[in-house]
Amino acid sequence: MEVQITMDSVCLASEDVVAREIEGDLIIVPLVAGIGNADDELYTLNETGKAIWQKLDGKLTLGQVVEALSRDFSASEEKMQRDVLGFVHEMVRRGILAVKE
Amino acid sequence: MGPEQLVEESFSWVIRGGELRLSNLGQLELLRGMHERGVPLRIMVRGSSMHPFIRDRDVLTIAPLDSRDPRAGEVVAFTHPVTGRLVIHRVIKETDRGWLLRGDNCSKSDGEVTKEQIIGRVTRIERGGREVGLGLGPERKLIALLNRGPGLLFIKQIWLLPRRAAGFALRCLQAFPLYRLLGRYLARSLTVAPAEDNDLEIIKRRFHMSGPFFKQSPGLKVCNWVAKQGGKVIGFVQLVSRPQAYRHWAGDWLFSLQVWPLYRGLGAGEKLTNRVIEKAQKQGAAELLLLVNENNIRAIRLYQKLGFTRIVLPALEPILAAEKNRTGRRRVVMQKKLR
Repeated sequence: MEVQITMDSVCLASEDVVAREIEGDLIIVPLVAGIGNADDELYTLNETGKAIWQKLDGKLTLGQVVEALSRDFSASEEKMQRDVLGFVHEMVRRGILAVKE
Repeated sequence: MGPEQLVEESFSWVIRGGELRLSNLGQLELLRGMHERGVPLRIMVRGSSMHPFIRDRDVLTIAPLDSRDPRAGEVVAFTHPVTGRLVIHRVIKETDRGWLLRGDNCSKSDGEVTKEQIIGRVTRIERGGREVGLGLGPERKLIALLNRGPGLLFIKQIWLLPRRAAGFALRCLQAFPLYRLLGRYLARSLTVAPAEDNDLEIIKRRFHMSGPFFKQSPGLKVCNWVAKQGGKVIGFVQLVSRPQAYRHWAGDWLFSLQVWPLYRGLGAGEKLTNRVIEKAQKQGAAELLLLVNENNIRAIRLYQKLGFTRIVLPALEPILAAEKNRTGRRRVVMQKKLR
């Protein structure tokens, strides 16, 4: 089912991943059949991805996330919105992020 | 870096697993993270302290301990009491305060380890994509019992004796000039060619891994060659060309040179290396670099013969020293100037 993602959506880490900051990198391990598979399914985010991820706490709407991030990075909201939406779409598609109902 | 650039880069945020190498402490941290959630972790491990039951690059599934205490014979992941590093060894004995642990391939035990230091138990071993049964089944108790004393190491020595003797005899023979001369004459059909897909399958199986350089990463260029004798793959080499973004690993590197033991002394290593040199020259490289185990005298001799000299790259020294701590093998850099 395609979930509609808008600026009012609230996102958070999916139940099916374990995310942990390790040696400065944010490492995300998807759970496959209840087992964390770090052998071929590991993800890591770069600084920007990490900054977006850390704001997705299940409370802020994407709109608020964009606002906060464009302040942090002194970037235009329009550009940030594109990046955040792209990020969230991709992560939801991969089952790493979940959209809160 | 300006803020706009930072944002621009946000689309390089996903790195598929396998390409990311976690350090030992990184693995430990990840394992803790998984077990806080109460889920097992499937991960590749390095080292040979559990050989032959667990081997370098085996993929292990490590489950949280839960309520059941470890028992003699089980293989557990724990924080080493002295070094604080993640270690995976076997419980050889239950003691009053905890457990006595020892690697199947270690001459000494790790000492007594408490429950707080044990992170999880190994529930599955995979090698080359297949589950390996031996080492975790009922035989585990016998292994633990033997390993309380020198029994296991002793059996291993005896077991390996005929093979070692044969290997020694073969190496002596291969070093013998007449053998080399005759061999080269008889092995005239030995060819070196770019590796085809089916050759690479053979290589992957032999190296027991999906391998660091079988996956193409951005900007990285890899060329693979195989040596063949009578249609059979008997050797392998790679040229890995990395762009400047790889910093001290940038440049042209000869990698993974290997000739199957039975076919050494026939000139295959030399042919393979020469092919890499030619290709690097054609690409306009100023130098060709390689890493070799400092004890691998035969390889070093071959490289020297082909014009490589040992050099020190200061930026790599700490990495290579750390590798020695981790794996026990010290690699050194050799370089051949191409112009």
